[in-house]
Amino acid sequence: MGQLHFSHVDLATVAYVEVDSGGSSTRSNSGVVTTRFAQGTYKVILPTNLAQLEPRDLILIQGKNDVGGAGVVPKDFTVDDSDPVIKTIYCFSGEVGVDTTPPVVTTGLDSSFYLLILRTTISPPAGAPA
Amino acid sequence: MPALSFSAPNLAIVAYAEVDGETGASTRLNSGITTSRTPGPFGLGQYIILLPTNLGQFQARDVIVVQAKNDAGGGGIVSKNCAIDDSPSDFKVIEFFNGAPELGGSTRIDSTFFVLILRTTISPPGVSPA
Repeated sequence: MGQLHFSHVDLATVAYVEVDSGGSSTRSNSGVVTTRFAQGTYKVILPTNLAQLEPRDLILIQGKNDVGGAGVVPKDFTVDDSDPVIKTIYCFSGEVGVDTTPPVVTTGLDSSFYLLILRTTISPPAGAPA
Repeated sequence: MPALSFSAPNLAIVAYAEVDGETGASTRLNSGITTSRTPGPFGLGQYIILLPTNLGQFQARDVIVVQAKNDAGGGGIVSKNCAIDDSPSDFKVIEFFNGAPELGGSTRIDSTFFVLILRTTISPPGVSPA
């Protein structure tokens, strides 16, 4: 990225992948293993030497259209990065009427998505974990 | 990141952080910005990212990406989505909404999140702002 005197050198790319709604990754993949754990729940397994502690990583997810999954519909994602090796991605449906029985907020939805994992390379601020 | 002959030099990293959903603090991943949770008129789900003075970014030049996380104090692993107000140069406002369809999309919810702020470094097209 650019060479301004911001924090351009502070982030390193750890991994990236395009995950199919079925959990496989046969397209863009930097070298991670991906699986579908349950409806709308996916796990991205990092190589052992690329394990990332929760306080140091930065994970971005973008939902995609897909053939096997939900397609172009409302959906959103939440990530659990507490495990250094296994990052868990949850996709939820935003479709009105998908489930009228509370708690509808837990309605999982299969979807293809992009995932990008970065990590900081600078020392954390005072009081923050190493 | 690697300098391929694409548009690698066109985006610079301005700032990044992991913000706690319950308190608005950022004691983990943080490139050097101040974060806070402001109840505002809504009570929940509104956060302020305060940039250092020398890193103020005009609305027309920045690119901001936010990713929701699971968290203990906030909404946890539930459906949620966010919108960004980047109109102020010195601070950016992140607002989270509960994704439960029956809530109609206007109910705010606390959430831990990642934020990554980039900015373009190239000249804008003819009719764009400087």
